Amino acid sequence: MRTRITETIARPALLAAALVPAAGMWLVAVDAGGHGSLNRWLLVVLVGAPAAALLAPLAARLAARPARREATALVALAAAVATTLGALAAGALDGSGALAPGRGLLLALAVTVPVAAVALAWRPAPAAAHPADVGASPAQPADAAPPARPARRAGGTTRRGFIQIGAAGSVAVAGLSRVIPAAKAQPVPFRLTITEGDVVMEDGTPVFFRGFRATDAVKDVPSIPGPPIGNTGPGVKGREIFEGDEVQIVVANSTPREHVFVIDKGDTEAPSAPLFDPVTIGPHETATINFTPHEAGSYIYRDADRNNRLLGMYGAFIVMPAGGSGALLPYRQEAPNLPIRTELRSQHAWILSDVDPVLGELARVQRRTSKIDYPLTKVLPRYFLINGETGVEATRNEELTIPVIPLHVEGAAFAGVLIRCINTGVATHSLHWHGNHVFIVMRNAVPEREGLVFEKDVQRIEPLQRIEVILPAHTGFEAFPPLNQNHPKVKEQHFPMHCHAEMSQTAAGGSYPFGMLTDWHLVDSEQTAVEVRQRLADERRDGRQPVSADQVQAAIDERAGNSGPGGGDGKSGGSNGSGSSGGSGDQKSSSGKGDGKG
Amino acid sequence: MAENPVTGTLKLPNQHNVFNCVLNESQFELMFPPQVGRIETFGFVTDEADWEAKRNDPALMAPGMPLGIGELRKFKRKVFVSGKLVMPDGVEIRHWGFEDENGLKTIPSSPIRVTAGDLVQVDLQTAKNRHTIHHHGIEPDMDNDGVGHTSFEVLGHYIYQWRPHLANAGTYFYHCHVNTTLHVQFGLFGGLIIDPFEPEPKGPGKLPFADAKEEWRYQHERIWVPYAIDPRWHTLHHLAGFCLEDAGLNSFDPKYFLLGKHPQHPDERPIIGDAEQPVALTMPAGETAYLRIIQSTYHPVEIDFGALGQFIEIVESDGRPLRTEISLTGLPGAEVPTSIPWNDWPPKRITPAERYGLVLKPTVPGVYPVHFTFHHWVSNEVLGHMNTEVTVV
Repeated sequence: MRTRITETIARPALLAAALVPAAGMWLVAVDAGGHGSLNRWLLVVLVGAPAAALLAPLAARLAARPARREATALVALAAAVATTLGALAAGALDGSGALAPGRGLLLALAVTVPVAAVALAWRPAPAAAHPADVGASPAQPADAAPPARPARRAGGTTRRGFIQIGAAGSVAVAGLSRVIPAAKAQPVPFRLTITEGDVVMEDGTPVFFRGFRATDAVKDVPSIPGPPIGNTGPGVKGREIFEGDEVQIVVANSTPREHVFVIDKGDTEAPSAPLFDPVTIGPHETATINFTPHEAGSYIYRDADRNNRLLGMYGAFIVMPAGGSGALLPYRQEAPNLPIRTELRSQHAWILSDVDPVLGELARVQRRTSKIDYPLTKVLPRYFLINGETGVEATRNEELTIPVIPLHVEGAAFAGVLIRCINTGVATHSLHWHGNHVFIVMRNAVPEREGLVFEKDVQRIEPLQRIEVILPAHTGFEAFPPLNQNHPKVKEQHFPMHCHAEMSQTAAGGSYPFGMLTDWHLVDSEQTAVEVRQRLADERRDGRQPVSADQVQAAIDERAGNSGPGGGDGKSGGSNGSGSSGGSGDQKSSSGKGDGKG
Repeated sequence: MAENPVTGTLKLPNQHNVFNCVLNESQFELMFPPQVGRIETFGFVTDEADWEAKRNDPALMAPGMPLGIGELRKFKRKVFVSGKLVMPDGVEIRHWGFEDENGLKTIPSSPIRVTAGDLVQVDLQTAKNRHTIHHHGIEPDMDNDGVGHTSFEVLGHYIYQWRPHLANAGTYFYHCHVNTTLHVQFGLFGGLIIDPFEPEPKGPGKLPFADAKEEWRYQHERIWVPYAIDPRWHTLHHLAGFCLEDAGLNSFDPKYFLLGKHPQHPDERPIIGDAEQPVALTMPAGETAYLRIIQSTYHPVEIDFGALGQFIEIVESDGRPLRTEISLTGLPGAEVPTSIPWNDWPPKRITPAERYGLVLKPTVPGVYPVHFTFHHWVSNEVLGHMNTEVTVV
């Protein structure tokens, strides 16, 4: 807990104490007109500094979970009050006459506020609240000491909170994720804060969410999805949780309404096999939840109310099997579980979600309402996310979402990638892998039974369901000429994964394929994997550059100019046939990406 | 039918404010993938003589493929947009499709049926707009996978080439992967069946896949394609929803429910089908039928076989046999095909783009109704249903 004390109590206390001499100097200089000022200043500091150190942590408790701005105000206030107290005491002691407490306080604040603001803001903050920015930082356990481990060689160095906790000991090299359970860890709390706010969608629309953020997040906006608890993949790795570990989750509710926190093994709206009794957290209250998960698998932590979940109150909770001797496998290799004979190369979590902005607007104006009345028959999701992103970002997110897998070699130590598909949404999704079929190995934290294996290219996943699949990463056996060393593109093959309930491939009613879409890359070697990850990271960064309006318009014109309504023959569209074909002649400007001729 | 205001705005191609979208580079690349007018397929097999040489070239064999087998199979799929389908209430629905090499224009588009080991060439001709063909469930190289952002969209002509592996006989489908949400619903899809390579059949009928149990050899077959039509979508422009335009493509609200091209009549009569697309099945007791189900629409479908369920086993899904073990090599290892009785498979729901292969071995004569029910993907409400029947004599 030492880190926690340092972070949460000592830092504001020290800062507040340090502010007292500065404020005291100003106060004494202005108030005492110069006589006996050094002695008086010393008195002020002597009384004020300890008072400030005591007051600051107390003041910090005024807010359920102060974000940076609130913390600044509270520290400054504590220091100012302490300085004023010191000045009052000094006035009484040296008999120079009492100063007006109100005036003193204002004078002290004039110094403490700006200094505290500067002192607490020294950490650089990200520029914009994109869901991925906040979504990626794990619910950070308190003893977040940076572990000594090999640096990630590619791609993992963006501004994302990249925290790997040493307690459980894990190795992350070039996307390889192996888990080595260490001695049983003390229950270090995972800290979440319930909050609300706008998150900007792919088309620029701000949508109001209720959600969770890491309690020590730098911005007070919901993380979509909530911060992961446990190991959700190579890009972001929180402290891993193993079967039998004691887990403590501290949930602060910064909203003026009640919420109910639940983790359920089942997939029904009303919890059928909760890991602990659902916990009600009152407005501005904090709940500490202790429990011990006994079954490995993927779970969803969430608000018990469906609409609150649809508003963004969900996150992944991942439990690794105990006794695995460090092998990355989703469950214990014992009867009657379906055996997985080879250790897996890495794991990813794909947290699927649906977004209905209308519900968000209801939530915006019903801040005190815990359960918003919005029946399922009215729900019309308008955005469809994987790990809080749509296709555009998700096809570049090599840290979190996209497997970049070296080709499976017969007899290799590792094979395949475990993908935890977690449907936090309200729609039944239909995940389709191009390039390889996947093996279904686990559903709702229950391993598949030995003796019956489904190898699928489409997997149905209902709301609240979690389905683990293995993407094997073998060559595409239907390529001709085959994908061997003679094939010019054997170095890297690139395939999408998307939901085949095609409504989900849109954003705001259109913009295919800005929906529930991502990619995976099949590469010929570890070295190529490093290169591809680096390229994706670069593209992700550069991809934020705007494209000129002329270039967009030219591309649109080229497509729109091909024909009118009816899709091509100019007949079925009715009266517009001649108009459209007339237009197509001068619209065939090339976009520069192909020969553009029909 | 009222014209969609969105489509109306597209009548004038020079109306620059139709799509007022601001894009970043990532969005631009995903929305405007590379396109080709006419390019050569890598490693294209030009003719029978070329194929004869290549099928005997060890350097051109995928792992596990024997030398010297397979035919060169050429298909033509030309996009048409003039299709019309009349619903039982008299409403005419406009649809698209792929016209086949014999000039047939139907919905779903004509099936592609080949034998494992064949070399398949599907010649896509797109007329004026961009399309692709994704052979769904087939695992070719990415250029032949038919996805714009991982390869290219086709404006003109491209020949997709691939070769089904001996291990992968089964039930697939193919569809356009450009603005897929709209184009598949518009009818740019069809069945894709890969029969196992069996030069000398060991019994009467066909096997569903190479190492299927002999008792699954079938004499009768049906391909059931659940499909539903949202009439509003069929009035949209081919670019509807393009570039931040709201075309309501997140709301699929079907009014007509079909098996293939045959809509369910409101009087609940079972869909019988016709010679081109037979649906209802009549078979003698004691024989075997193989039912292939290809889910081609966007809401989950629940199937109720009633009393017929006791005679049905699931043996295949998504072009892969059910097996006893995982084989991460992608090719069968020590594991063997297995099955699960239909009545022991709790979901009974088939999700969009999923396929199932069912072995039906009825022993008791009778007329068995079969019901397909569409459930809304969010609310789970019943949207509509289709009926057909199996008559065992």
